Amino acid sequence: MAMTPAAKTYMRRMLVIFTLYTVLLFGAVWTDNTFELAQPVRIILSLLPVLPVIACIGAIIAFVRAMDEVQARIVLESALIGAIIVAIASFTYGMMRGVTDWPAIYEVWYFPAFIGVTGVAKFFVKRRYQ
Amino acid sequence: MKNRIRVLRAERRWSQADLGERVGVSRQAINAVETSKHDPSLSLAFKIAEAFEARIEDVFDPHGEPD
Repeated sequence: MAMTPAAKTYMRRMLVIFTLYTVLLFGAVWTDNTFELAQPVRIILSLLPVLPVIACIGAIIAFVRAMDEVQARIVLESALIGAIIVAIASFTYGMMRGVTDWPAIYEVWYFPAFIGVTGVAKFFVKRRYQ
Repeated sequence: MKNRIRVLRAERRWSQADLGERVGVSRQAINAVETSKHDPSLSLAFKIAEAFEARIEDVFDPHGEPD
């Protein structure tokens, strides 16, 4: 199936964003491991890879707005399901940690978990509209 | 909401993709509206009626239950 112009623009923007993210992430890790840096500089350095992730919000919203109403509904329902599942799972895990010695989950995994669960949810939501 | 999209398409020998192209939405969107899995926005309902050169109430029946 041919990609729409909006999908092509989205793919292009995401490619640039994730290339930038990878460069900034590895650059920040390398710089932090190579040089003795003051704490404020380390904080700025660790926040640099977040900038492209913020930019990807704009790319996603532009793409959803270019969709027709059924496609947008599928994406929004999937994202809602993804957000609810990750929120409930993290909340439940947090409660369980209070009474067990389960390890803490590094917060950096919440966003990928949301994206992953949303992707799985989209598979099922899409079927509902077929 | 019941609709007559399938019948009107068949009369014109249009596929769902053909109708989608005429009103500017995906084949999937036409399928979802046609099978009453999605109630279209007012704007899309008017576009669909316009494509069939029909009145909106001749295409959609808000009181009818889907088949």
